[in-house]
Amino acid sequence: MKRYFSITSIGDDRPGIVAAVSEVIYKLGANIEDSSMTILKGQFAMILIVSMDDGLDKGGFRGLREALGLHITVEELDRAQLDEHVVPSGTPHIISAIGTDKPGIVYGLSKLLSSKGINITDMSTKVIPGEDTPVYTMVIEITVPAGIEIDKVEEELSELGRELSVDFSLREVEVLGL
Amino acid sequence: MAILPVLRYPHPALRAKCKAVEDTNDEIRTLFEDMTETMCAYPGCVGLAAPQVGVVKRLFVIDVSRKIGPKKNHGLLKLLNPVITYSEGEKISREGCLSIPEFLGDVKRARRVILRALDESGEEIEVPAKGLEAIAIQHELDHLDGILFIDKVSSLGRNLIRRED
Ligand SMILES: [Zn+2]
Repeated sequence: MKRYFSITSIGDDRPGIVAAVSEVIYKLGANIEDSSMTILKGQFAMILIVSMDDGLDKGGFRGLREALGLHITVEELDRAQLDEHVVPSGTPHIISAIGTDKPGIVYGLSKLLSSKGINITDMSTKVIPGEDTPVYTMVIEITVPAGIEIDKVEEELSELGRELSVDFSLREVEVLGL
Repeated sequence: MAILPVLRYPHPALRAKCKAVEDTNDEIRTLFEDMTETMCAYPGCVGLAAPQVGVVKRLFVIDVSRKIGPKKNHGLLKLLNPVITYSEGEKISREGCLSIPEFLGDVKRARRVILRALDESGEEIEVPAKGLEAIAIQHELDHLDGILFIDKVSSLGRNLIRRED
């Protein structure tokens, strides 16, 4: 029976990190199932789900910590939980936001969404230089379940935007099956 | 009429350069009917190209009205030997493909196209298309040249992976 492991790694960005980490994964006999990698404030961050027919030797990653200064964690995932996971159904939408940087933007928005049962499926935020103060930008993808009035969500978003001095825009993602 | 099995990557038909249809006969018309029925068997599917059902010929069906209703499109189109004669603008949309299930990605394509093709009775027609219909036409036309949308993906709609129904 296949076993699944999560591997997360973060460290100062430089060429060769992906090669080094994937070499270890390959030599341990694991298979990369899903992965996402990005640079956050100069740190190269990786999240991978790998599968194995048997256990994963966590010790195999020790060398990477020393050689590349990566912070790596490896955890086994609960197979039963993976099998039972249900993808929330609904219509995909994107919310983008821009405003003056201040604490509580992500919290305010995510609280509004979760109170409506709207699932966040992807999110990326970045602080960029502004005219005189830093500017906060955000793009998030959400799944809006059937039965939710999107106009109502949009209204509440603009109300929240006024409170936080953030401009939110909400739009549906058109998905074409071809 | 029949629902045909849809081939999945890496079936070689999906990478083939399809051949022009020499003459429009009952065999082609039956294929069009079956492809239409196959497309309609998949909820949300608005286009299907012949190589996806293992026929390496230059033809496809699209029907964007299945998704957006009757406005701003031609409804069901059965097209042979299609050629884009004009295109303009850019539009990014999220595409999926029956031949690459459970994968969605954002692809940039022309916003408007004019297509010249033959209809199922062999008459030459011109189809000016915009928006989703233009996108669908370009996706299906790519299939006829063995090009898959994943060859053109600029970013993943990774969170929006469809479940197999
Ligand atoms: Zn396709």
